[in-house]
Amino acid sequence: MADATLTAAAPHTLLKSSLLALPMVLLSGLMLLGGPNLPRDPLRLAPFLAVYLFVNVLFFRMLRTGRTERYRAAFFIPFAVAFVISFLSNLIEARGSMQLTAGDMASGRTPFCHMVIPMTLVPAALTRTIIFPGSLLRGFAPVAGMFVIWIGASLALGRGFCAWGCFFGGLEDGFSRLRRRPRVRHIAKVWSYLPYAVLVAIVLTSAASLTPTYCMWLCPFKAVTEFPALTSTVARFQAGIFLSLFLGLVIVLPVLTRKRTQCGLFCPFGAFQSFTNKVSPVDVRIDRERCTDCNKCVNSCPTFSLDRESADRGGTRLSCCKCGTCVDLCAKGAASYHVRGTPVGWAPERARLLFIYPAFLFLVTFGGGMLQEALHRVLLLASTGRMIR
Amino acid sequence: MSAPAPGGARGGRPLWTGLGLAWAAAAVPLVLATFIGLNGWARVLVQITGVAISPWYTGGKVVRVIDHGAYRTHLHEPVFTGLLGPRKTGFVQVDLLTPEPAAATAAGGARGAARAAAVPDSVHLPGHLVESVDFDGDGAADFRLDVDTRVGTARVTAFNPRVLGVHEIIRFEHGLGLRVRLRNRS
Repeated sequence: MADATLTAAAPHTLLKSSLLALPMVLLSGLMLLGGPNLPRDPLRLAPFLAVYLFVNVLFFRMLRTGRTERYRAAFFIPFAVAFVISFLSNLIEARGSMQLTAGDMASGRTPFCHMVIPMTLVPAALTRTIIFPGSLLRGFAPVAGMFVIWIGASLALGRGFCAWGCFFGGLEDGFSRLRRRPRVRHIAKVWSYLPYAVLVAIVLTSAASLTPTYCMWLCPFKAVTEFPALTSTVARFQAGIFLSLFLGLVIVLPVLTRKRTQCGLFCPFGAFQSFTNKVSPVDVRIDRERCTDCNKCVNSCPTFSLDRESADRGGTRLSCCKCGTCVDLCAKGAASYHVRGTPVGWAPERARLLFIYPAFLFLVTFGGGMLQEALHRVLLLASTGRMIR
Repeated sequence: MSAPAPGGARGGRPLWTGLGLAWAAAAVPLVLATFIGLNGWARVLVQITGVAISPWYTGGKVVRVIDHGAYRTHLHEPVFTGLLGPRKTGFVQVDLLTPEPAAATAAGGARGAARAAAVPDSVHLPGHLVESVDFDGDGAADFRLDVDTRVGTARVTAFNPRVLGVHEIIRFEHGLGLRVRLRNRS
């Protein structure tokens, strides 16, 4: 039964890996450059070449070894760090501070992020307005552009966005890998429903108040991006909440549990994005004929998306981010990527390829620019002593 | 890749298998189209949905511009937008703007603050401004604004019972925005 050639982690030959990597070599160059010409500025050219080489080595390794997760994480984690560096550099260059003033908000100069999307839908449907102080089409991270990226990601990847596209997720992903073994092993399953409760709460309160309440009160990532100007007691209280949630959910708990606790136990966008797993073409399945009930996949899932019941049913829970941890870990090849409509266990490597091409391309396109920008800022610092132009 | 054929040994349905594979294969073009056509898709999305940024943030549409030479007054339409219908209270925004954006840094009051911090010198508004505002367009002033632009304070003298007082003072790069709280007609 345990035929090694049928497992998802089947390595390819050097020649086959090289041929399979060719499309990514071409597409990643196109998407990272954003045009036909190489940058002339050496401080731009060097980051481009470094990122281009980096992503293609990772993708080649993904093909050559048949393993997904470690190479995904090798990009996903630096992507999150690069996002913080490039975002803050741009912010300080444009506004001089991480603090968001009433003037910035009224001028529509707040970058829009995907986390806001669930809160905007009900007010948009009923009032035809977006309850966010950004710009629809102009400036850095406009609302409509982020919506388009979210729609594309949802159709192509479903909640795979959370492991292959979210520029925040890599932070806790990184912290969750700092310890070899978890200090806290058991977290009651009921906590994994909390993101859905937070989702319902913020959708209702945002609709009632016509303000994005999660951004105003609960977003842990405000601690590393921007936050309301600290000009009042309320604003200081908000900042305290952001910082506490960041420390607790993005640093301390991931270190203690080796899980992505913000994503799995709190993030309302993640809960919302889970429903898009119903329309995306690839999911993760457990082949019951191969499964030996060893529970390795259940214990290793970073987002609490696998439990014994779901594995017994032959699949993951709705919240699966398709990160590939369980697929890589399963020695029997029971956990595998699966194309909807195909029989369970059919051509797992083909299904993996059909998922990792769009997923990695998405990651390269969305994250590659930020990685280049962050490297550019570091080179700028090294050559001029300043990260800000 | 020694796998059984689609719809083969393990009981798949060929039509669903074909559709699933086609959908999965379309994901790469979909990702490319998403990013390459991003600006175009974004414009289409805005046109199709007809959405705008909430007036609670933008201050609403500018309905009148009065040029005073040294500065301009932009009067916005009153904002009462609510989820299921107009709210009982709202605001009207009056912007006092210099003709040329000054290279001022933006740092100002939080939502609800009735006093902004000191205005940068590069915002060349006159130090003291008095402005009568007719927000409902009936030809009679509804309130008078008395603004000290140097310290960023404003006083409202109401001539209309719907006017409730200063709601917020916003500092822009090239002037000030004053939101005056209003009671809705209904």
